[in-house]
Amino acid sequence: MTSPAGSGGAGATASDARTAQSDSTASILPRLSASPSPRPFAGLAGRGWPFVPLAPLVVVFVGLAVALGIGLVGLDHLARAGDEHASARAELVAATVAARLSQLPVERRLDATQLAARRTAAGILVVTPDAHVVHDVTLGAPDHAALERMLADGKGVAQLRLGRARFAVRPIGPASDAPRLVVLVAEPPTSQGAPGLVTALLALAVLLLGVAAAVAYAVSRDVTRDVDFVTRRIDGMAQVRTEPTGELIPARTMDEVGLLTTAFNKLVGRFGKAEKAYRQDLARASAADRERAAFLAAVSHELRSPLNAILGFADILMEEVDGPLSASAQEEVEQIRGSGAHLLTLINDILEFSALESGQLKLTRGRVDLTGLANEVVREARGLVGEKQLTVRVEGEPSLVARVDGRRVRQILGNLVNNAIKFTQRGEVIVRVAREGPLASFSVTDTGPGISPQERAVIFDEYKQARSERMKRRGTGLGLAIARRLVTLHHGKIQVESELGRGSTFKVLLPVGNIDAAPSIKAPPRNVEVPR
Amino acid sequence: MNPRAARLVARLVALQLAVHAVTFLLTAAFAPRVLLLEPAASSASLLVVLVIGLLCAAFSTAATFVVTRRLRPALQALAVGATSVDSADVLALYGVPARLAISSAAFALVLALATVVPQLRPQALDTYTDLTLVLLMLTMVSTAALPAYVTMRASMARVLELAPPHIAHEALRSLGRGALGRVRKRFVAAVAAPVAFVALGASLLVDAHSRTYDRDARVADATDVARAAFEPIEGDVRGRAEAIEAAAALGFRVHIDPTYDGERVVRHGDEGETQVTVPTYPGAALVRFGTSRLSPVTGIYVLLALVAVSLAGLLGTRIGVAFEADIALATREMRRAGVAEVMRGTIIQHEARFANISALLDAVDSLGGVFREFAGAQQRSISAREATERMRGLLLASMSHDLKAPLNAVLGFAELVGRNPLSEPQKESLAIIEQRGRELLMLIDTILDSARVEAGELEVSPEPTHVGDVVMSSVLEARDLAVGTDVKIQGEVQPGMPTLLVDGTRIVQALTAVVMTAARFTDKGVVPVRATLPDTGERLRIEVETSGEGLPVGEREKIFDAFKSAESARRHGGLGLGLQLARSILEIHGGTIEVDNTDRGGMVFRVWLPVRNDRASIRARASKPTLPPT
Repeated sequence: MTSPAGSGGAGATASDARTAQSDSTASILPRLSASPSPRPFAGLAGRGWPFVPLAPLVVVFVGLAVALGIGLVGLDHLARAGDEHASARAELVAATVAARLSQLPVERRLDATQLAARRTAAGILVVTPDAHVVHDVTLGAPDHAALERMLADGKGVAQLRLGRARFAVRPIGPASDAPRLVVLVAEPPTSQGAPGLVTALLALAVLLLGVAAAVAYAVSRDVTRDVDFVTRRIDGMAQVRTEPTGELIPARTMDEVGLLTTAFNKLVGRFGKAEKAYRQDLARASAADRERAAFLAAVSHELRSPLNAILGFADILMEEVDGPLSASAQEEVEQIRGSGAHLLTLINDILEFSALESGQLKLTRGRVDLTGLANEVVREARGLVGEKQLTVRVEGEPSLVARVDGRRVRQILGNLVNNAIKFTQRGEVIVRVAREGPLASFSVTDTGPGISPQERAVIFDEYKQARSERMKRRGTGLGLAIARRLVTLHHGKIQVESELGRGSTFKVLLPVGNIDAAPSIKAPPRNVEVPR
Repeated sequence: MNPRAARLVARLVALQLAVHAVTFLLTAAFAPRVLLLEPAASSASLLVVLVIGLLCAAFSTAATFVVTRRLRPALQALAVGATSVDSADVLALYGVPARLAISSAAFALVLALATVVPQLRPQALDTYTDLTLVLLMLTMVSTAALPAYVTMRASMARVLELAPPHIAHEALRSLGRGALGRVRKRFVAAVAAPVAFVALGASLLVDAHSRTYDRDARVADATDVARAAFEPIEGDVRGRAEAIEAAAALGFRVHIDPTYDGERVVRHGDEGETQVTVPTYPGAALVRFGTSRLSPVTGIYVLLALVAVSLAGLLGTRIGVAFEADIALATREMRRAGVAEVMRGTIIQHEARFANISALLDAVDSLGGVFREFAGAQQRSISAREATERMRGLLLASMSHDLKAPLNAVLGFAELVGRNPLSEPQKESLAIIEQRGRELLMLIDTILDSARVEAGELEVSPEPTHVGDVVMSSVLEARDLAVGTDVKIQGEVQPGMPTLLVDGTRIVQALTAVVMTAARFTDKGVVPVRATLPDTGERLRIEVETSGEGLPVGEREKIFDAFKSAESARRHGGLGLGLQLARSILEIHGGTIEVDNTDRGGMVFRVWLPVRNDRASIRARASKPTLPPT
């Protein structure tokens, strides 16, 4: 609150809107300036990492990697299995065929060897222990040196003209000089099962990864769903409510999110408590204010009753009911009456001002001819001119109709004109009535001593005025403060321009309003702080 | 009746049955393709899978009923919206989905392992195939357990929503640190289990392929060798026998069935044995060999799978920990945030890593903004109210000066008028003007002094004062003001009174107000003012009695509170204000005032003042504002 007088009172609407505005900017500014980047991604929609896709991503990447790894190992295994199988096959063929040949007469061995070679699709050689070929059932026998090496090794890999082959050597018969049987099995060119494996693995990997990613998605969605549930509830609270309380969010999971919910609920509880405290404070303050207003009214009343007695008895004395008064006594009683009347005005002002401050005063709007009103006011005020060389006149529009509360506007105008006459010793006081767009304006210009800038700043604010200043202005009382509040009640404006020694101009602007509307007793906006 | 809670058990059963159905149907559909099963083995595996699936479904249903049996009353209570739910039941309910998912998976494991026992396994499945089938099934079941758990948990969460928050809070409190790490565990499971699933599936497939390749190659070997080496040759029996022996040494057991007459037959027998019947002319050679050699690369698969699962677990843990850190951050921020922080600005001061938590924090911040706006508006209203209230006090006080000037003029001119020759009625009128004028002046002074008391600006100058002087001054003043009424005011002072350290003027002002009030409540008669020093003599007592009926008991206290009651202000006006000021002055001097009934039906004001006093404390009390300063 800047000052109680500046924004309190009936004229608080405009200035409060301003303070509210400046308050809200003040609350935004620290967010922007004091902490330039507590959130580096501020401004981007949806700051932070998305959580839900992480699990499927990890699953897909790691899963793909492991499937690939296993597939590669499998392919390698298949390739080696083909070679090993060729070796085993050579051995098997060599062992069985050698056993078979050993029991056959030598001349039938070639036939048997040829049959075996045909049926097993292997190359078979019968050689002497010193590597001379006896029978050759191959597509291209290795040379002598190679054969010698093969006989020495017993089994292994041989490089033939047609490619690599696995070989196994077995003696035909138990004798040491028995011929040797050499079986050559070509290594399979590519792993035979590989294409099938790759296809199957690919299909399976896609399928499994899909399932796995779906599962991972479901579970991590489950994790965020709990958080999002809380977020949605909080959002709902923030959007629907203008007050930060409400039912608590159910903590529906017994994990960290549950703890988070609990923490939030406690925060809401703190908000609620604070809100209650605020409401109580406000209620207390309102009650105190109401009481004080009532008290003020009562005291003013209390002040008025002895005053009325004084005025009454002064009148009785003045009317000389109980006998004649001397000239000096008459004058003195007249002084008593004048002072009493002034006192009454002051007390009435206090009451009226108090009513205005607490918003108890209502306007009764109707069609009012402002020019006519100004003429009436000026006519009545001429009585105050007395001996002074002062002309008081009305200028401007011959007729200006506005929808205002005639009694109050008369009060405003009367106050301004009376002040002008009171302070101006010679010259003129002019009331101008004009129309400025949707506004009706009347100004009161005098040729008085003028008002200093310091005084101008506080002239409408009763409480800001130093007491000495008020004394100097000889107890104009609350007239201008009341006028300002009445103008504000009409949603109008009051301005003052002045030059020391040259005079001052008070200008009042009032909205013309819908002058065709029926007279209403519409309540003006009360001077209550509406929570925004 | 909340349908979610009422039908929870049925819902859990239905969910599990659905998940089981999908899992086991998928397993049945995929097992032959992944494991490259022969038709016979495939139909056998189908049977195994279906039986296990049915048993699992039955188990899940039974387990759900058993687990939730004890919690039925709690569910019922939640369904009807009762608040009398035990926090232990809430915890138990929350644990139900996990318990069901784990027990279902464990039951499936037991059932599947039971098929390893040869008696319980179809003949068409050898041990190795069965093992791979079991492995596949377990993978499927445990992977499916996660979505099952998640959906059950979601259903349960919607039911637990119905629990009153304070019970949920209590349950969480009872968990203590046990509530921590749960999100991470779930997330790790979400990452590791699917990876394990993929790794196992790929391993099984690759293994099945290499085994099939191996077996097919051996079948070809057996066939070819049988044709090449076991054809009967006339006159040669020993050669074939030696060949059979040589083959047996290499793992191929050969029998000759001379009477066989038919096609080549490949039969995969029990325990991984394969028998190939190769027709020879005449008869056939029956070659048997085993294929169920454990491949050496199985170890590599296991290793790869382990590495992948631990890598996934590690990544999952990292992400899970990060997410938990985010949640913990949000929790901390909320715990820390007080109303003061909210009023100062944003609640949330730290950046969350993940978008969900960021959104949550933003939501909290915007809620804080709502509160801030509300509180700001309230604060402004309160300030405005207080300001107006202070202003009103100020208004009267500041105007009092303006009021006094014309009033003094009235009194001054009244005195001047009195110097003129006047008739009796005129003198009477003038007296009334003067009296009312003084009354008005006193009232205005009272207003001014009340405002001073409120602002803590009342000047007091305590001096040693005689009690008699004080009492008599106020009696005289009251008499002056009560001129024209039928009330007689009498002062009685007990002899031997001590001297008091008080501001005589103020005390007289206070006492006058009390006496005036008493006089106002007395129509006619005597108003006695008695000053005594009762009991121990530590406190002076001044009693002022009315002879009228006074006020009803309930309204008597209020008479001091001119500000508290508009009613009392209206009825007693300036008097009430005077009494209130009197009380303030007495309290500044360490004294009190009370109002009581007398035996004669009147009221008595009793003023107490301490005999011993010191200047400093009086001044301190006087300079303490009763209203907050402007």
